[in-house]
Amino acid sequence: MENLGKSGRRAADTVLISGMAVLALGLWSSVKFAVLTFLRRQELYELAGEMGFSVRIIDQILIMSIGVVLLLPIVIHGYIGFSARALALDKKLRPPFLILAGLLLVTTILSAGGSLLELLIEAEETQGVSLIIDLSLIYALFSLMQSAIKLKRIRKNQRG
Amino acid sequence: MQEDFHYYATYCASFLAGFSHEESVKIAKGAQFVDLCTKTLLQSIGAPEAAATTQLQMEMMDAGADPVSLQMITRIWASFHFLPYDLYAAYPYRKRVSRRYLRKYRLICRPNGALVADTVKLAKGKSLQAAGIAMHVLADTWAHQNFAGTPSLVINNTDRYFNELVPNEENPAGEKYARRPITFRHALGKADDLERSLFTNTIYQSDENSVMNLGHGRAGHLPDYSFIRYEYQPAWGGYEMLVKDNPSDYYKAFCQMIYALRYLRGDFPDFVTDTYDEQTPAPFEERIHQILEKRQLSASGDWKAFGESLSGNEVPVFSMDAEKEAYRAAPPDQKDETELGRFIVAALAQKSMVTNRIYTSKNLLAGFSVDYHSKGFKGIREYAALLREYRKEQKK
Repeated sequence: MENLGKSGRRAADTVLISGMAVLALGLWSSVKFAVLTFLRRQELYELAGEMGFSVRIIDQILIMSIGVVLLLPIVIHGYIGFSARALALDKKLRPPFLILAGLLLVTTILSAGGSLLELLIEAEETQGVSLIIDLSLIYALFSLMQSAIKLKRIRKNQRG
Repeated sequence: MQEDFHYYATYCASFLAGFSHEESVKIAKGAQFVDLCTKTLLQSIGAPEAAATTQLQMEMMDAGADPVSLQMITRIWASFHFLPYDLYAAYPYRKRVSRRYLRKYRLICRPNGALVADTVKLAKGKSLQAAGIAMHVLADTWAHQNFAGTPSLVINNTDRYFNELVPNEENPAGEKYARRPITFRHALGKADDLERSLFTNTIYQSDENSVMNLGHGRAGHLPDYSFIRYEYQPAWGGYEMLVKDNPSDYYKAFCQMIYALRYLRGDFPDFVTDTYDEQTPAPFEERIHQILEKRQLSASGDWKAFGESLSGNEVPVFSMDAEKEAYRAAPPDQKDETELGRFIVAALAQKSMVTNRIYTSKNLLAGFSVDYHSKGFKGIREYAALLREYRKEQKK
């Protein structure tokens, strides 16, 4: 068992917990997309009708696209979350996940900005929940990246 | 601690302190019985349930996580097995903590707190069974230090940073001890595997008030093995690692027990914490250290042999059957005078004292308490026995 010292153990714990938070919040993104799509499918049917497609075909496309899009956040968040866990427990690491975490952080900041605008300008109250979740994810990603860099530095110093 | 120390080592300490063989057996029985006196046992002999000094696993499973149940659990475990060190302690790792957290932090057990002195002094002039209870409580403050007698994840949890410290045979010139990671498993029926450092602990439960998070459950039986040295990261410790040197702590507990027992015999005018009688056991120090450091699940055999070599008498195998029968058979007005009756009164007194101290420190984790000395008797009928004892002493 490695001897990380007090700050190293604190950083490892933060990476572990933040990684699990990123994973959990990925599930939220998928669920949110699925629910919104089903709730708004009437609009899609009307659009499809104008374009000459049948409702049945739209349903099939919807189901396939939901399946794909549902998986995407789970895969990305899961990759980051489990990689963070591996880093915290000093196990074999996958290729740099911090870059992906950084990209996710940028997109989440943009998404949060969009939610804030919709909340303020269009008074879309449901965007309030999205905003809270996005802010939580931003905090988790930021903590994870900060602590992961610190932990890597401590390990590098220890191993010479 | 377990039977090897609570019964046999307490016998040895009592004899070394000057008690006779018979008195030492009674003191040792009182000390050991603290680990067996459950509500179920008391019900079976028609004794007051409020005198329970421990709980069966099934009793704890039946207990809920509501405030009243948690208070009942805390009253038992904080009074007899995890005596709080400082009921007014400040949390050293952060400037601001919630009151809820601070109340739990203040129940952490360590040796040489004010309550240890109160516990020993409470037994002064009382029965041998009371002395036994005091010795059990005192000894446990050494073994169970840094854990609290209340279910709390944020105080009692442990994690993957848990290493045994073994003598560094591969590099004697380097660090004195090498780290060997400890693996915890949840195999209740299996004995701990000392060779492979495989130990059983309670299952991780994220619920703050789960009984799995009571006392040293998350560290398994390690605090109760006299031979082991280990380091771990306690949940309350601000990410610092704690080193626990059981052989050293157990020897200090033994020396402090001799001092406390000599005080109870009248050899010293007062009991002062952080004081140890190292002279009396000095001729046997090497043998005692050998017993403490021997890597075994139970040192009962070794302590028994040591006790018998001291007194020249056979130390009986622990049993309270005769005492239970005598209690059952005694008429109601004479039950308090039986050996088990004296134990029960002493247990009620100890529980009442500790609960009162916790309550007066504005901490409700052990529930409400009334100082029956000044306010007269109010409350559970069983505690009226304490008032009868108090009035008897006043008449003397």
